[in-house]
Amino acid sequence: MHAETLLDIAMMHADTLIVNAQKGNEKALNKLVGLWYKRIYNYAYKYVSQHDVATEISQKTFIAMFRNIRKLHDVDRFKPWLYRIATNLCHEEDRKKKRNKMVSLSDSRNNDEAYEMEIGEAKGNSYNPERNFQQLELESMLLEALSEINEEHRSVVIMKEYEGFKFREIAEVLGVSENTVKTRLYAGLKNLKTILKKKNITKETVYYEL
Amino acid sequence: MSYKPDESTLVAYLYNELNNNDRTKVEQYLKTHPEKRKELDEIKSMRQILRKWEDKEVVEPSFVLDNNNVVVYSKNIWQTSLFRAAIGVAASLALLMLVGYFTNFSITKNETGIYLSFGKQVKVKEEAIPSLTEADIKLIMQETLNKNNDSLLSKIIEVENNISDELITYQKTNDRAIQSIHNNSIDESIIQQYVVQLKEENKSILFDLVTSTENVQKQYVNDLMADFSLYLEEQRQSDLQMIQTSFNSLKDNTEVNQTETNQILASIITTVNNQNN
Repeated sequence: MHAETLLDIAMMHADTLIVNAQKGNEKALNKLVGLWYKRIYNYAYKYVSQHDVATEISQKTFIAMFRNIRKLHDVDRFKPWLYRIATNLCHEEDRKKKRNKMVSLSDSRNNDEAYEMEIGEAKGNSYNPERNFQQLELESMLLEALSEINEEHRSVVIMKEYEGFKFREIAEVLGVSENTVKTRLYAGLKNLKTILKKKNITKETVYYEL
Repeated sequence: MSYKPDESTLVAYLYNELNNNDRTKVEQYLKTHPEKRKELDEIKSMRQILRKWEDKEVVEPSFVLDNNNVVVYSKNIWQTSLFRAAIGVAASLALLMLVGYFTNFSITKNETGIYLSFGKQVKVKEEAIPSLTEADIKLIMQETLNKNNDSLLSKIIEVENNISDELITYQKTNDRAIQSIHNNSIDESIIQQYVVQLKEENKSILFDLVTSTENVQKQYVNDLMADFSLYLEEQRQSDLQMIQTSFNSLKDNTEVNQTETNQILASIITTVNNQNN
């Protein structure tokens, strides 16, 4: 990850925080949540495409973190360790979905849009409907495309493109070799490209909109 | 020229993670393989689309350790109690209506009143009452009035007789009493003595009363003062304790902040140094 913001620096140097959290310090634990919650939520959201499910996964991830952080031996391995928990929960959610292919009664997308507005208002900044609409359009296209590619490829693509992982770190999260990670990433990107092309989504159309 | 880069090498090339030697090799290969070049270019431009997608903002919940359990306090407004309460009210209304429907609950109104009924409606038969003519009613009223008047008159006469008898006897006893008082005239000195005695007694009773209330009041005020000073002392102790804990937590916070700031500063310094080098 590139150290672009103070938050990034804080995330990379949270060693003391992690050590304190391992001693059971609730304040330190909640500070870790504050540093990582948005990342984990966005990772899960891109993976499962539903706000409610992503929220559930994020909460479960941090509950697991609270319970097991003592077992983390190497403080430097915190990030891959946290993403490993989240990734396992995402895969579990996928299996659950396949077992009972039930369609949710409530339209999750409506729910998500209401949530978007709520967040916009809650943050107190100017809620820009047009900008937001374009982002939502792009988001729904990309979510759909991502949901169509293989899960193993999907998690690698998200980690590399959005979470700033090194290949070595992704290998650690997934417990596979670096070469496997690269092969999966290539396959994932290639599939994604084909899907977007089929939907006639190119750099030009997106740039025109954004 | 049988070199063909595998997919992992191509990925490393896409992310600029190849050394110069390998990169040249891949570039050479791409020059002779336009279809592969096109594929890589397409992937590159798609990655630019991917980068347009911004993160979603979320409100993180707070987690509380409760023994070994972790409790999550969500700040999501969508699931607030108000929303749930509204759903609850709506559900109970619907239930009430359903029950009403299945039990055939109905409300009917006619000249004789309002009927609430469950199940099938039963018509209430009105009993036929033999009708009376106006003349009959007048006759009956006249008879009862006459009877009442007679009995009232006789009772009044009886009471009048009794009262006059009693008045006469009272007068007689009063006359006798007045006569006897005149006969036994009382000595004035005895009365004076009696009054003085009464005064003395009153005085002493009043004195006792005042002294005793004074004592009680003193005791009460003493107790009150003692209680109040005890309470003040306790209050002071707890205030001191609170100040002590506030100071402690302030100290803890400052220490944590200081170590964090140190680390961040160190990292900024190393980043700057690296850039300078």
